[in-house]
Amino acid sequence: MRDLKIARRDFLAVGAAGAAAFFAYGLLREKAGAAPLLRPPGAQDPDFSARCLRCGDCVRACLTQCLEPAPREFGALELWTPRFNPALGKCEFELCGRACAEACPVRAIRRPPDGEVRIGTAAVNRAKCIAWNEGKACLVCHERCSYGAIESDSRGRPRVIAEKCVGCGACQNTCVTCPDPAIVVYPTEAVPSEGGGGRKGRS
Amino acid sequence: MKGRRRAVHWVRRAVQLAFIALFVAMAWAASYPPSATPGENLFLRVDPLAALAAARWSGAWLYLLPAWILLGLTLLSGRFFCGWICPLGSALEMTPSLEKRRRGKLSHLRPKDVLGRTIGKGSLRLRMKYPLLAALLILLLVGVNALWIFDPLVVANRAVVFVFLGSVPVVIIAMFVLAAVVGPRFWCQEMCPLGACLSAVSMAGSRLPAKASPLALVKDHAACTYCGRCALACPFGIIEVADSERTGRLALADCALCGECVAACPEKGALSLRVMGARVLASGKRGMNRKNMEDKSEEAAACGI
Repeated sequence: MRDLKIARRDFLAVGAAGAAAFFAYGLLREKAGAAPLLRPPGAQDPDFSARCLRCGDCVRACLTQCLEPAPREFGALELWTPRFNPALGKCEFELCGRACAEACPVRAIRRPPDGEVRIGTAAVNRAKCIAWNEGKACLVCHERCSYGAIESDSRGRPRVIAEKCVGCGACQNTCVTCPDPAIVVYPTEAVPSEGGGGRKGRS
Repeated sequence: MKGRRRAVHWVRRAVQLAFIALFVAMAWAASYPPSATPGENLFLRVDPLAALAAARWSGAWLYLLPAWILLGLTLLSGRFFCGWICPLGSALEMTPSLEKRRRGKLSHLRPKDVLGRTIGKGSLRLRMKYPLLAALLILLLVGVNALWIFDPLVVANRAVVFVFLGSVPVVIIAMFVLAAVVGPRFWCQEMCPLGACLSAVSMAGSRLPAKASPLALVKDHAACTYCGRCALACPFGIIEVADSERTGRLALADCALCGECVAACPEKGALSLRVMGARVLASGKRGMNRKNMEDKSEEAAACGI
């Protein structure tokens, strides 16, 4: 009885300490800053992670399998919430019938009409883009965009028209500079400027 | 512990395995396209806590129907969900336990609180699960969903999804380690907020007569010799004497109606498992007998019955 008592108490203490350490670690990592955390369509409001059950059903349900449980890098508060990762696939919210929202058992993912979906906004990093940087006529992102949100100038250099972009991730998904794409989707409130007004590329 | 009485153990194991298989199959079937049936996340919709969260954020009360049904049945029958259906509880119960070896001795029969202190008969049990449940409900009210850490069905669902994705479900592995070290149903009895919710509902319904219950465990006080074998057999480790003499029903709020005590009881008819009031399983061959009673009195004193 005595050894059981000690084992149980110790186990709980170790467990509590472990959990605390885990969360402290997560919070520290969050402060260190991470890649932009994109959400499935209908989950853009800031209190989404307070609603989310982290059950993984949306990740499972996604047509293009472009969702993943957010890993530790995004901080303890976002842990295992659904992350839309364009590297995994394009978000086909107009085709899939909102499989993620449909699967959500607590209705944390909402269903705004197709026209109002705004997952994020893409931005070109001109230092990485081969059209801007190396003068090559690439046009891949321009051609893949279903929303006409990427315009190319006479030299084939892409620019994002922020008003048209919904953040579906097709451009990032196919960018030829993969695995470090030159065009990346950011949450709408955290889009970096493409810079320079697009006068001309370097070199 | 032979024949028909022992059969309840294997029947329950079969039912538990079937529900585990169903749970995994449902998680598997939850891939694209969403099926027309509302069955995909049925386990999560049966969960009253998840359903409450759904109502909190979408106001979809009808969506909670499966959860209401579970709460209604729990009111009538107690925590049968934990003993027969819950996939996580079942898997934990089947975990090879390091503690089981120690449980062979009568000195371990007295109920213990979370700090391992022995609790006397009639004293209040200190259960982490109730404060945990209260905290979760308050957080839910405030607008923070903390169920993802503690809700057994959510944890199990996520674990299955993680395995499908090829990553390691850390939390559930920790739970299995916990089960192996401190007892197979430690989680269910001490920490599970869903268990706390069902226990509370079951407590509210424990005054109802056994006849009203679809599934009930009934004790005949006259036939009991207080040998303590039921307490030994109970996977939840909850048996004291806290049964209600008024209704004849074993009114333990935490009882999961698994029937292991019925199978273990040597006294004829002292314990029985009833379905709609009809006795489907009754204990023992041995009739009550003074000599046995005296033999067992020491054990009974040791186990607090």
